[in-house]
Amino acid sequence: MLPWGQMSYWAAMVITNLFGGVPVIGDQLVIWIRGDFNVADATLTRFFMLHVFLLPIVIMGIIGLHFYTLRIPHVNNQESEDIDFDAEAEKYLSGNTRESKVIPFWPVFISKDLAVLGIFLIFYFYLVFFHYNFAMDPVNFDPADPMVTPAHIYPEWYFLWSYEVLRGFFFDVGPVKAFDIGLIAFAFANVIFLVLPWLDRDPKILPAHKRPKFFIWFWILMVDLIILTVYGKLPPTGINAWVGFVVAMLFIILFLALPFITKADAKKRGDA
Amino acid sequence: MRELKILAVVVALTLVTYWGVEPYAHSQMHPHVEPADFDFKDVDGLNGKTGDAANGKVLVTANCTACHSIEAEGFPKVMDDASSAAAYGVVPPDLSTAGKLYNADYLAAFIKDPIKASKVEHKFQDGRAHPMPGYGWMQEQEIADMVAYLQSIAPDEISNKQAFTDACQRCHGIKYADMLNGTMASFTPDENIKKYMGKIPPDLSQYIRSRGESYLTTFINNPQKHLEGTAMPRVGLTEESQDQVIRYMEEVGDSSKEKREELGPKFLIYLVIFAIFAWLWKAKQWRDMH
Repeated sequence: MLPWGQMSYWAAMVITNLFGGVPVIGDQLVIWIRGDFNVADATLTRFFMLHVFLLPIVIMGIIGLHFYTLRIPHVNNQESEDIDFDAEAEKYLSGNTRESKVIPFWPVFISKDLAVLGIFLIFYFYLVFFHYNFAMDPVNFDPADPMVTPAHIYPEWYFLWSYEVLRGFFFDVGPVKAFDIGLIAFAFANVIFLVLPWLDRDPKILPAHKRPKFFIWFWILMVDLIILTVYGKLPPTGINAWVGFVVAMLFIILFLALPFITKADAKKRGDA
Repeated sequence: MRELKILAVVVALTLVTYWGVEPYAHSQMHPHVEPADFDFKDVDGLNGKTGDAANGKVLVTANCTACHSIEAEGFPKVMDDASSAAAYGVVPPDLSTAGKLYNADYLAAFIKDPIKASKVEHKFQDGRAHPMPGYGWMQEQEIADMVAYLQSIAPDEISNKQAFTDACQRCHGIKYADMLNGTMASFTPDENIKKYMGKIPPDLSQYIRSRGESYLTTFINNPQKHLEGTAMPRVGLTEESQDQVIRYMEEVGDSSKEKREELGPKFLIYLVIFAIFAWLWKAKQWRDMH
Protein backbone atom coordinates (compact mmCIF):
# COMPACT_ATOMS: atom_id res chain seq x y z
CA MET A 1 0.00 0.00 0.00
CA LEU A 2 2.95 2.27 0.67
CA PRO A 3 3.53 3.39 -2.94
CA TRP A 4 0.02 4.85 -2.69
CA GLY A 5 -0.56 4.14 -6.35
CA GLN A 6 -3.85 3.29 -8.01
CA MET A 7 -3.50 -0.46 -7.67
CA SER A 8 -2.30 -0.50 -4.07
CA TYR A 9 -5.04 1.92 -3.10
CA TRP A 10 -7.85 0.04 -4.79
CA ALA A 11 -6.59 -3.40 -3.79
CA ALA A 12 -6.54 -2.14 -0.17
CA MET A 13 -10.07 -0.84 -0.69
CA VAL A 14 -11.32 -4.19 -1.99
CA ILE A 15 -9.50 -6.34 0.57
CA THR A 16 -10.51 -4.27 3.60
CA ASN A 17 -14.08 -4.21 2.29
CA LEU A 18 -14.14 -8.01 2.50
CA PHE A 19 -14.17 -7.84 6.29
CA GLY A 20 -17.54 -6.12 5.99
CA GLY A 21 -18.91 -9.61 5.26
CA VAL A 22 -18.17 -10.82 8.78
CA PRO A 23 -21.54 -11.28 10.54
CA VAL A 24 -22.72 -8.70 13.09
CA ILE A 25 -19.48 -6.73 13.54
CA GLY A 26 -18.59 -6.45 9.82
CA ASP A 27 -19.06 -2.71 9.29
CA GLN A 28 -17.31 -1.76 12.55
CA LEU A 29 -14.50 -4.17 11.74
CA VAL A 30 -13.84 -2.45 8.41
CA ILE A 31 -13.65 0.96 10.09
CA TRP A 32 -11.39 -0.46 12.80
CA ILE A 33 -9.00 -1.94 10.23
CA ARG A 34 -8.91 1.20 8.12
CA GLY A 35 -8.83 3.60 11.05
CA ASP A 36 -11.17 5.71 8.96
CA PHE A 37 -14.42 5.41 7.04
CA ASN A 38 -12.36 5.20 3.88
CA VAL A 39 -8.93 3.94 2.87
CA ALA A 40 -7.00 7.08 3.83
CA ASP A 41 -3.99 8.43 5.70
CA ALA A 42 -4.78 6.48 8.89
CA THR A 43 -4.94 3.25 6.89
CA LEU A 44 -1.57 4.00 5.35
CA THR A 45 0.15 4.60 8.70
CA ARG A 46 -1.31 1.56 10.39
CA PHE A 47 -0.44 -0.73 7.49
CA PHE A 48 3.04 0.75 7.57
CA MET A 49 3.32 -0.15 11.26
CA LEU A 50 1.90 -3.58 10.57
CA HIS A 51 4.61 -4.27 8.00
CA VAL A 52 7.63 -2.65 9.66
CA PHE A 53 6.87 -3.53 13.28
CA LEU A 54 4.26 -6.21 13.93
CA LEU A 55 5.08 -8.59 11.09
CA PRO A 56 8.86 -8.45 11.77
CA ILE A 57 8.14 -9.42 15.40
CA VAL A 58 6.09 -12.36 14.16
CA ILE A 59 8.86 -13.31 11.73
CA MET A 60 11.42 -13.22 14.55
CA GLY A 61 9.23 -15.62 16.52
CA ILE A 62 8.94 -17.92 13.52
CA ILE A 63 12.72 -17.87 13.04
CA GLY A 64 13.04 -18.91 16.69
CA LEU A 65 10.62 -21.77 16.05
CA HIS A 66 12.61 -22.68 12.96
CA PHE A 67 15.84 -22.94 14.98
CA TYR A 68 14.07 -25.02 17.59
CA THR A 69 12.71 -27.51 15.04
CA LEU A 70 16.10 -27.65 13.35
CA ARG A 71 18.04 -28.47 16.54
CA ILE A 72 15.59 -30.43 18.70
CA PRO A 73 13.21 -32.59 16.63
CA HIS A 74 15.64 -32.21 13.72
CA VAL A 75 14.84 -32.14 10.02
CA ASN A 76 13.20 -34.78 7.88
CA ASN A 77 14.77 -36.00 4.65
CA GLN A 78 13.62 -37.16 1.25
CA GLU A 79 13.70 -40.86 2.16
CA SER A 80 12.22 -40.20 5.62
CA GLU A 81 15.10 -42.15 7.04
CA ASP A 82 15.54 -42.01 10.83
CA ILE A 83 18.95 -40.59 11.58
CA ASP A 84 20.73 -40.60 14.93
CA PHE A 85 22.06 -37.09 14.69
CA ASP A 86 24.38 -37.34 17.68
CA ALA A 87 26.01 -40.51 16.39
CA GLU A 88 26.42 -38.98 12.93
CA ALA A 89 27.95 -35.85 14.44
CA GLU A 90 30.43 -38.02 16.37
CA LYS A 91 31.33 -39.77 13.14
CA TYR A 92 31.89 -36.43 11.41
CA LEU A 93 34.03 -35.03 14.21
CA SER A 94 36.19 -38.15 14.34
CA GLY A 95 37.24 -37.40 10.76
CA ASN A 96 34.97 -39.82 8.91
CA THR A 97 33.28 -37.02 6.96
CA ARG A 98 32.51 -39.14 3.91
CA GLU A 99 30.36 -41.64 5.84
CA SER A 100 28.66 -39.11 8.08
CA LYS A 101 25.13 -38.03 7.24
CA VAL A 102 25.48 -34.58 8.78
CA ILE A 103 27.52 -31.56 7.80
CA PRO A 104 28.53 -28.47 9.76
CA PHE A 105 26.82 -25.21 8.91
CA TRP A 106 30.18 -23.48 8.51
CA PRO A 107 31.85 -23.80 6.10
CA VAL A 108 30.27 -26.76 4.29
CA PHE A 109 26.61 -25.79 4.26
CA ILE A 110 27.20 -22.09 3.68
CA SER A 111 29.62 -22.79 0.80
CA LYS A 112 26.82 -24.41 -1.17
CA ASP A 113 24.45 -21.58 -0.29
CA LEU A 114 26.91 -18.99 -1.57
CA ALA A 115 27.62 -20.93 -4.75
CA VAL A 116 23.94 -21.14 -5.66
CA LEU A 117 23.35 -17.57 -4.51
CA GLY A 118 26.17 -16.41 -6.82
CA ILE A 119 24.40 -17.90 -9.84
CA PHE A 120 21.01 -16.57 -8.80
CA LEU A 121 22.30 -13.05 -8.18
CA ILE A 122 23.64 -12.84 -11.73
CA PHE A 123 20.12 -13.46 -12.99
CA TYR A 124 18.58 -11.20 -10.37
CA PHE A 125 20.80 -8.21 -11.05
CA TYR A 126 20.43 -8.71 -14.78
CA LEU A 127 16.74 -8.02 -14.19
CA VAL A 128 17.49 -5.09 -11.88
CA PHE A 129 19.79 -3.37 -14.34
CA PHE A 130 18.21 -4.18 -17.68
CA HIS A 131 14.57 -5.03 -16.97
CA TYR A 132 13.90 -2.61 -14.18
CA ASN A 133 10.14 -2.72 -14.66
CA PHE A 134 10.08 -6.49 -14.34
CA ALA A 135 7.10 -7.57 -12.23
CA MET A 136 6.24 -4.02 -11.18
CA ASP A 137 2.62 -3.26 -11.83
CA PRO A 138 2.45 -0.34 -14.28
CA VAL A 139 -0.95 0.71 -12.94
CA ASN A 140 0.63 1.42 -9.57
CA PHE A 141 2.64 4.27 -11.09
CA ASP A 142 -0.57 6.25 -11.36
CA PRO A 143 -1.06 8.14 -8.08
CA ALA A 144 -3.94 6.88 -5.91
CA ASP A 145 -7.18 8.57 -6.89
CA PRO A 146 -10.40 7.78 -4.99
CA MET A 147 -12.45 9.21 -7.87
CA VAL A 148 -11.09 6.90 -10.59
CA THR A 149 -11.47 3.12 -10.30
CA PRO A 150 -8.99 1.14 -12.44
CA ALA A 151 -10.55 -1.09 -15.09
CA HIS A 152 -9.12 -4.22 -13.47
CA ILE A 153 -8.27 -4.58 -9.79
CA TYR A 154 -6.11 -7.48 -8.65
CA PRO A 155 -3.77 -8.09 -5.71
CA GLU A 156 -0.05 -8.90 -5.89
CA TRP A 157 0.74 -12.17 -7.69
CA TYR A 158 1.22 -14.20 -4.50
CA PHE A 159 -2.34 -13.43 -3.35
CA LEU A 160 -3.97 -14.17 -6.70
CA TRP A 161 -4.81 -17.81 -5.89
CA SER A 162 -6.83 -16.97 -2.78
CA TYR A 163 -8.37 -13.94 -4.51
CA GLU A 164 -9.61 -16.30 -7.22
CA VAL A 165 -11.10 -18.64 -4.63
CA LEU A 166 -12.99 -15.58 -3.38
CA ARG A 167 -14.18 -14.59 -6.86
CA GLY A 168 -14.88 -18.15 -8.00
CA PHE A 169 -18.30 -18.21 -6.34
CA PHE A 170 -20.03 -15.63 -8.43
CA PHE A 171 -23.66 -16.68 -8.20
CA ASP A 172 -26.18 -16.79 -5.36
CA VAL A 173 -27.24 -20.21 -4.13
CA GLY A 174 -30.81 -19.96 -2.86
CA PRO A 175 -30.91 -17.33 -0.12
CA VAL A 176 -27.10 -17.26 0.28
CA LYS A 177 -25.43 -14.38 -1.51
CA ALA A 178 -22.47 -15.03 -3.83
CA PHE A 179 -20.42 -12.55 -1.79
CA ASP A 180 -20.94 -14.58 1.40
CA ILE A 181 -20.11 -17.91 -0.21
CA GLY A 182 -16.96 -16.42 -1.72
CA LEU A 183 -15.99 -14.95 1.63
CA ILE A 184 -16.38 -18.28 3.43
CA ALA A 185 -14.34 -20.02 0.73
CA PHE A 186 -11.70 -17.26 0.98
CA ALA A 187 -11.45 -17.66 4.76
CA PHE A 188 -11.21 -21.43 4.29
CA ALA A 189 -8.43 -21.06 1.71
CA ASN A 190 -6.38 -18.77 3.92
CA VAL A 191 -6.39 -20.91 7.07
CA ILE A 192 -6.51 -24.42 5.63
CA PHE A 193 -2.74 -24.70 5.11
CA LEU A 194 -2.22 -24.03 8.82
CA VAL A 195 -4.11 -27.19 9.79
CA LEU A 196 -2.48 -29.35 7.13
CA PRO A 197 -0.67 -31.61 9.68
CA TRP A 198 -4.03 -32.58 11.19
CA LEU A 199 -5.65 -33.24 7.83
CA ASP A 200 -2.94 -35.77 7.08
CA ARG A 201 -4.26 -38.88 8.85
CA ASP A 202 -1.41 -41.16 7.84
CA PRO A 203 0.21 -42.35 11.11
CA LYS A 204 3.65 -42.44 9.46
CA ILE A 205 5.62 -39.45 8.21
CA LEU A 206 6.61 -40.38 4.70
CA PRO A 207 7.64 -38.53 1.55
CA ALA A 208 5.03 -38.24 -1.19
CA HIS A 209 6.72 -40.73 -3.51
CA LYS A 210 5.99 -43.45 -0.97
CA ARG A 211 2.31 -42.44 -0.76
CA PRO A 212 0.83 -42.95 -4.25
CA LYS A 213 -2.59 -41.34 -3.71
CA PHE A 214 -1.17 -38.37 -1.84
CA PHE A 215 1.40 -37.99 -4.63
CA ILE A 216 -1.39 -37.52 -7.19
CA TRP A 217 -3.26 -35.22 -4.78
CA PHE A 218 -0.17 -33.04 -4.46
CA TRP A 219 0.30 -32.53 -8.18
CA ILE A 220 -3.37 -31.81 -8.75
CA LEU A 221 -3.09 -29.18 -6.01
CA MET A 222 -0.04 -27.61 -7.72
CA VAL A 223 -1.85 -27.42 -11.05
CA ASP A 224 -4.96 -26.07 -9.34
CA LEU A 225 -2.98 -23.34 -7.56
CA ILE A 226 -1.32 -22.29 -10.82
CA ILE A 227 -4.66 -22.07 -12.63
CA LEU A 228 -6.12 -20.14 -9.69
CA THR A 229 -3.16 -17.74 -9.81
CA VAL A 230 -3.42 -17.16 -13.55
CA TYR A 231 -7.20 -16.72 -13.55
CA GLY A 232 -7.00 -14.55 -10.43
CA LYS A 233 -5.61 -11.79 -12.61
CA LEU A 234 -7.86 -12.18 -15.65
CA PRO A 235 -11.13 -10.27 -15.87
CA PRO A 236 -13.82 -12.54 -14.33
CA THR A 237 -16.16 -12.49 -17.29
CA GLY A 238 -17.63 -15.18 -19.57
CA ILE A 239 -15.73 -18.44 -19.54
CA ASN A 240 -13.14 -17.08 -17.06
CA ALA A 241 -15.78 -16.94 -14.32
CA TRP A 242 -16.63 -20.61 -14.82
CA VAL A 243 -13.00 -21.71 -14.93
CA GLY A 244 -12.57 -19.80 -11.67
CA PHE A 245 -15.59 -21.54 -10.17
CA VAL A 246 -14.38 -25.01 -11.13
CA VAL A 247 -10.83 -24.55 -9.84
CA ALA A 248 -12.06 -22.87 -6.64
CA MET A 249 -14.42 -25.81 -6.03
CA LEU A 250 -11.59 -28.22 -6.79
CA PHE A 251 -9.37 -26.44 -4.25
CA ILE A 252 -11.93 -26.92 -1.50
CA ILE A 253 -12.74 -30.50 -2.48
CA LEU A 254 -9.03 -31.37 -2.47
CA PHE A 255 -8.67 -30.32 1.15
CA LEU A 256 -11.91 -31.97 2.23
CA ALA A 257 -10.70 -35.18 0.60
CA LEU A 258 -7.20 -35.08 2.07
CA PRO A 259 -7.97 -36.97 5.33
CA PHE A 260 -9.56 -39.81 3.36
CA ILE A 261 -6.79 -39.95 0.77
CA THR A 262 -4.01 -40.11 3.35
CA LYS A 263 -5.97 -42.72 5.30
CA ALA A 264 -6.41 -44.84 2.16
CA ASP A 265 -2.67 -44.72 1.47
CA ALA A 266 -1.93 -45.91 4.99
CA LYS A 267 -4.51 -48.69 4.76
CA LYS A 268 -3.08 -49.98 1.51
CA ARG A 269 0.38 -50.05 3.06
CA GLY A 270 -1.06 -51.93 6.03
CA ASP A 271 -0.27 -49.22 8.55
CA ALA A 272 -3.76 -48.24 9.54
CA MET B 1 20.94 -35.21 -10.13
CA ARG B 2 17.83 -35.28 -7.99
CA GLU B 3 18.38 -31.66 -6.94
CA LEU B 4 18.59 -30.64 -10.58
CA LYS B 5 15.35 -32.44 -11.37
CA ILE B 6 13.60 -30.63 -8.55
CA LEU B 7 15.08 -27.34 -9.73
CA ALA B 8 13.87 -28.01 -13.28
CA VAL B 9 10.31 -28.64 -12.03
CA VAL B 10 10.32 -25.49 -9.91
CA VAL B 11 11.65 -23.39 -12.80
CA ALA B 12 9.09 -24.84 -15.21
CA LEU B 13 6.16 -24.17 -12.88
CA THR B 14 7.45 -20.67 -12.16
CA LEU B 15 7.71 -19.89 -15.86
CA VAL B 16 4.18 -21.15 -16.56
CA THR B 17 2.84 -18.99 -13.73
CA TYR B 18 4.85 -15.99 -14.90
CA TRP B 19 3.59 -16.40 -18.44
CA GLY B 20 0.02 -16.55 -17.12
CA VAL B 21 0.08 -13.50 -14.86
CA GLU B 22 2.21 -11.28 -17.08
CA PRO B 23 2.18 -11.70 -20.89
CA TYR B 24 -1.05 -13.67 -21.08
CA ALA B 25 -2.98 -11.49 -18.62
CA HIS B 26 -1.78 -8.34 -20.39
CA SER B 27 -2.87 -9.66 -23.77
CA GLN B 28 -6.32 -10.27 -22.27
CA MET B 29 -6.62 -6.90 -20.56
CA HIS B 30 -5.15 -4.74 -23.33
CA PRO B 31 -6.55 -5.75 -26.69
CA HIS B 32 -4.18 -5.51 -29.62
CA VAL B 33 -4.29 -2.27 -31.63
CA GLU B 34 -3.00 -1.48 -35.08
CA PRO B 35 0.54 -0.05 -35.18
CA ALA B 36 1.00 3.73 -35.23
CA ASP B 37 0.40 5.43 -38.60
CA PHE B 38 2.92 8.22 -39.02
CA ASP B 39 1.87 8.95 -42.62
CA PHE B 40 -1.62 10.03 -41.50
CA LYS B 41 -3.10 8.39 -44.59
CA ASP B 42 -6.67 9.13 -43.54
CA VAL B 43 -6.37 12.94 -43.52
CA ASP B 44 -7.27 15.40 -46.29
CA GLY B 45 -3.83 17.01 -46.28
CA LEU B 46 -1.58 18.63 -48.87
CA ASN B 47 -2.80 16.28 -51.57
CA GLY B 48 0.62 16.42 -53.22
CA LYS B 49 0.87 20.22 -53.43
CA THR B 50 4.15 21.94 -52.62
CA GLY B 51 3.89 25.36 -51.04
CA ASP B 52 5.64 28.70 -51.47
CA ALA B 53 7.06 29.83 -48.13
CA ALA B 54 7.18 33.55 -49.09
CA ASN B 55 3.48 33.60 -49.89
CA GLY B 56 2.84 31.48 -46.81
CA LYS B 57 4.48 34.13 -44.65
CA VAL B 58 1.98 36.73 -45.79
CA LEU B 59 -0.94 34.40 -45.18
CA VAL B 60 0.27 33.26 -41.74
CA THR B 61 0.91 36.83 -40.65
CA ALA B 62 -2.58 37.86 -41.77
CA ASN B 63 -4.50 34.82 -40.47
CA CYS B 64 -2.68 33.20 -37.55
CA THR B 65 -0.77 35.74 -35.49
CA ALA B 66 -3.92 37.29 -34.01
CA CYS B 67 -4.00 34.31 -31.66
CA HIS B 68 -0.74 32.41 -32.12
CA SER B 69 2.69 33.66 -31.16
CA ILE B 70 5.69 32.82 -33.34
CA GLU B 71 8.49 33.81 -31.01
CA ALA B 72 11.23 32.73 -33.42
CA GLU B 73 9.96 35.24 -36.00
CA GLY B 74 9.31 38.09 -33.59
CA PHE B 75 5.59 37.64 -33.04
CA PRO B 76 5.26 37.68 -29.24
CA LYS B 77 2.38 36.23 -27.25
CA VAL B 78 -0.74 38.33 -27.54
CA MET B 79 -1.68 37.80 -23.88
CA ASP B 80 -0.26 35.97 -20.90
CA ASP B 81 -1.20 32.29 -20.51
CA ALA B 82 -3.93 32.81 -17.94
CA SER B 83 -5.72 35.42 -20.05
CA SER B 84 -5.51 33.49 -23.31
CA ALA B 85 -6.71 30.32 -21.52
CA ALA B 86 -9.67 32.31 -20.22
CA ALA B 87 -10.31 33.67 -23.72
CA TYR B 88 -9.93 30.50 -25.79
CA GLY B 89 -10.37 27.71 -23.24
CA VAL B 90 -6.81 26.54 -23.75
CA VAL B 91 -3.52 28.36 -24.41
CA PRO B 92 -2.89 28.52 -28.18
CA PRO B 93 0.44 26.98 -29.20
CA ASP B 94 3.45 28.98 -30.36
CA LEU B 95 4.07 28.11 -34.01
CA SER B 96 7.89 28.44 -34.08
CA THR B 97 8.45 24.69 -34.16
CA ALA B 98 5.13 23.52 -35.64
CA GLY B 99 6.68 22.83 -39.05
CA LYS B 100 9.21 20.55 -37.42
CA LEU B 101 6.95 18.82 -34.90
CA TYR B 102 3.96 17.97 -37.03
CA ASN B 103 3.51 15.89 -40.11
CA ALA B 104 2.98 18.25 -43.09
CA ASP B 105 -0.15 16.49 -44.36
CA TYR B 106 -1.60 16.47 -40.87
CA LEU B 107 -0.79 20.15 -40.42
CA ALA B 108 -2.59 21.01 -43.65
CA ALA B 109 -5.59 18.92 -42.67
CA PHE B 110 -5.63 20.51 -39.23
CA ILE B 111 -5.63 24.03 -40.64
CA LYS B 112 -8.56 23.11 -42.88
CA ASP B 113 -10.61 21.37 -40.19
CA PRO B 114 -9.08 21.08 -36.70
CA ILE B 115 -11.89 18.97 -35.26
CA LYS B 116 -11.79 16.34 -37.95
CA ALA B 117 -8.00 16.10 -38.17
CA SER B 118 -7.60 15.72 -34.42
CA LYS B 119 -10.48 13.22 -34.21
CA VAL B 120 -12.47 15.02 -31.53
CA GLU B 121 -15.83 15.31 -33.31
CA HIS B 122 -17.49 13.77 -30.24
CA LYS B 123 -16.29 16.69 -28.13
CA PHE B 124 -17.57 19.55 -30.27
CA GLN B 125 -21.25 18.85 -30.65
CA ASP B 126 -24.37 20.87 -29.98
CA GLY B 127 -22.84 24.10 -31.17
CA ARG B 128 -19.63 23.86 -29.18
CA ALA B 129 -16.92 25.41 -31.32
CA HIS B 130 -13.26 24.47 -31.50
CA PRO B 131 -11.15 27.45 -30.33
CA MET B 132 -9.43 27.43 -33.72
CA PRO B 133 -11.70 28.09 -36.69
CA GLY B 134 -11.22 25.89 -39.74
CA TYR B 135 -9.63 27.40 -42.84
CA GLY B 136 -11.26 25.02 -45.29
CA TRP B 137 -12.49 28.01 -47.27
CA MET B 138 -8.94 28.79 -48.42
CA GLN B 139 -7.41 27.47 -51.61
CA GLU B 140 -5.53 24.17 -51.29
CA GLN B 141 -2.47 26.01 -52.58
CA GLU B 142 -2.72 28.67 -49.87
CA ILE B 143 -2.85 26.01 -47.16
CA ALA B 144 0.22 24.39 -48.70
CA ASP B 145 1.99 27.76 -48.71
CA MET B 146 1.33 28.26 -45.00
CA VAL B 147 2.62 24.77 -44.20
CA ALA B 148 5.72 25.50 -46.30
CA TYR B 149 6.28 28.72 -44.38
CA LEU B 150 5.94 26.99 -40.99
CA GLN B 151 8.42 24.37 -42.15
CA SER B 152 10.85 27.02 -43.39
CA ILE B 153 11.00 28.81 -40.02
CA ALA B 154 11.23 25.64 -37.89
CA PRO B 155 14.68 24.79 -36.49
CA ASP B 156 16.46 21.72 -37.90
CA GLU B 157 17.07 20.29 -34.45
CA ILE B 158 15.08 20.69 -31.27
CA SER B 159 15.75 19.22 -27.86
CA ASN B 160 13.59 16.46 -26.43
CA LYS B 161 12.38 18.87 -23.79
CA GLN B 162 11.37 21.47 -26.38
CA ALA B 163 9.44 18.83 -28.30
CA PHE B 164 7.50 18.05 -25.13
CA THR B 165 7.00 21.69 -24.19
CA ASP B 166 5.67 22.67 -27.63
CA ALA B 167 3.59 19.58 -28.30
CA CYS B 168 2.18 18.61 -24.89
CA GLN B 169 2.64 21.19 -22.18
CA ARG B 170 -0.33 23.36 -23.09
CA CYS B 171 -2.50 20.74 -21.43
CA HIS B 172 -0.18 18.33 -19.59
CA GLY B 173 2.22 19.05 -16.75
CA ILE B 174 5.26 16.89 -16.03
CA LYS B 175 6.08 18.12 -12.57
CA TYR B 176 8.91 15.69 -11.72
CA ALA B 177 11.02 17.49 -14.32
CA ASP B 178 11.22 20.55 -12.06
CA MET B 179 9.81 19.97 -8.60
CA LEU B 180 11.63 22.99 -7.20
CA ASN B 181 10.31 25.79 -9.38
CA GLY B 182 7.24 24.17 -10.90
CA THR B 183 8.11 25.38 -14.39
CA MET B 184 6.88 22.16 -15.95
CA ALA B 185 3.25 22.58 -14.92
CA SER B 186 0.79 22.86 -17.79
CA PHE B 187 0.51 26.29 -19.41
CA THR B 188 -3.26 26.32 -19.18
CA PRO B 189 -4.49 26.83 -15.58
CA ASP B 190 -6.34 23.87 -14.05
CA GLU B 191 -9.76 25.50 -13.94
CA ASN B 192 -9.69 26.38 -17.64
CA ILE B 193 -8.30 23.07 -18.84
CA LYS B 194 -10.83 21.19 -16.74
CA LYS B 195 -13.62 23.07 -18.39
CA TYR B 196 -12.11 22.60 -21.85
CA MET B 197 -11.21 18.90 -21.60
CA GLY B 198 -13.83 17.69 -19.12
CA LYS B 199 -11.17 16.78 -16.57
CA ILE B 200 -7.66 17.84 -15.69
CA PRO B 201 -5.32 16.04 -18.11
CA PRO B 202 -2.96 13.76 -16.17
CA ASP B 203 0.52 14.81 -15.10
CA LEU B 204 2.89 12.80 -17.30
CA SER B 205 5.84 12.42 -14.90
CA GLN B 206 5.44 8.66 -14.50
CA TYR B 207 3.68 7.81 -17.74
CA ILE B 208 6.75 6.13 -19.19
CA ARG B 209 6.32 3.60 -16.36
CA SER B 210 2.57 3.44 -15.96
CA ARG B 211 1.84 3.22 -19.70
CA GLY B 212 5.14 2.09 -21.17
CA GLU B 213 6.77 2.97 -24.45
CA SER B 214 4.76 0.76 -26.79
CA TYR B 215 1.40 1.98 -25.45
CA LEU B 216 2.53 5.61 -25.65
CA THR B 217 3.69 5.11 -29.23
CA THR B 218 0.27 4.05 -30.47
CA PHE B 219 -1.64 6.23 -28.03
CA ILE B 220 -0.05 9.60 -28.85
CA ASN B 221 -0.30 8.82 -32.54
CA ASN B 222 -4.04 8.29 -32.19
CA PRO B 223 -5.54 8.44 -28.68
CA GLN B 224 -8.92 7.10 -29.83
CA LYS B 225 -7.34 3.71 -30.54
CA HIS B 226 -6.86 2.91 -26.88
CA LEU B 227 -9.39 5.21 -25.26
CA GLU B 228 -12.39 5.61 -27.48
CA GLY B 229 -14.10 8.93 -26.78
CA THR B 230 -11.17 10.48 -24.95
CA ALA B 231 -10.98 14.26 -25.06
CA MET B 232 -7.30 14.16 -26.01
CA PRO B 233 -6.87 15.22 -29.62
CA ARG B 234 -4.66 13.44 -32.11
CA VAL B 235 -1.83 15.97 -32.42
CA GLY B 236 -0.12 14.72 -35.57
CA LEU B 237 3.48 14.43 -34.38
CA THR B 238 5.98 13.05 -36.84
CA GLU B 239 7.63 9.78 -35.89
CA GLU B 240 10.82 11.65 -35.00
CA SER B 241 9.21 14.25 -32.74
CA GLN B 242 6.96 11.73 -31.08
CA ASP B 243 10.04 9.69 -30.30
CA GLN B 244 11.61 12.83 -28.81
CA VAL B 245 8.55 13.37 -26.64
CA ILE B 246 8.72 9.79 -25.37
CA ARG B 247 12.49 10.12 -24.78
CA TYR B 248 11.81 13.21 -22.71
CA MET B 249 9.15 11.39 -20.69
CA GLU B 250 11.75 8.70 -20.10
CA GLU B 251 14.39 11.24 -19.05
CA VAL B 252 11.96 12.52 -16.43
CA GLY B 253 10.13 9.35 -15.39
CA ASP B 254 13.10 7.00 -15.47
CA SER B 255 15.93 9.45 -14.86
CA SER B 256 18.43 6.84 -13.64
CA LYS B 257 18.14 4.60 -16.68
CA GLU B 258 21.43 5.68 -18.23
CA LYS B 259 23.31 5.33 -14.95
CA ARG B 260 21.74 1.94 -14.38
CA GLU B 261 22.69 0.62 -17.77
CA GLU B 262 26.19 2.00 -17.42
CA LEU B 263 26.72 0.33 -14.03
CA GLY B 264 25.00 -2.94 -14.98
CA PRO B 265 27.76 -4.74 -16.92
CA LYS B 266 30.42 -3.93 -14.29
CA PHE B 267 28.19 -5.26 -11.57
CA LEU B 268 27.45 -8.44 -13.49
CA ILE B 269 31.14 -9.04 -14.20
CA TYR B 270 31.81 -8.77 -10.48
CA LEU B 271 29.05 -11.28 -9.76
CA VAL B 272 30.36 -13.74 -12.36
CA ILE B 273 33.78 -13.63 -10.69
CA PHE B 274 32.09 -14.04 -7.30
CA ALA B 275 30.10 -17.02 -8.57
CA ILE B 276 33.22 -18.72 -9.98
CA PHE B 277 35.08 -18.40 -6.68
CA ALA B 278 32.01 -19.48 -4.74
CA TRP B 279 31.71 -22.64 -6.83
CA LEU B 280 35.40 -23.43 -6.50
CA TRP B 281 35.17 -22.99 -2.75
CA LYS B 282 32.04 -25.13 -2.60
CA ALA B 283 33.72 -27.87 -4.64
CA LYS B 284 36.68 -27.82 -2.24
CA GLN B 285 34.44 -28.04 0.83
CA TRP B 286 32.29 -30.83 -0.54
CA ARG B 287 35.11 -33.01 -1.91
CA ASP B 288 35.25 -34.98 1.33
CA MET B 289 31.54 -35.07 2.11
CA HIS B 290 29.08 -37.87 1.50
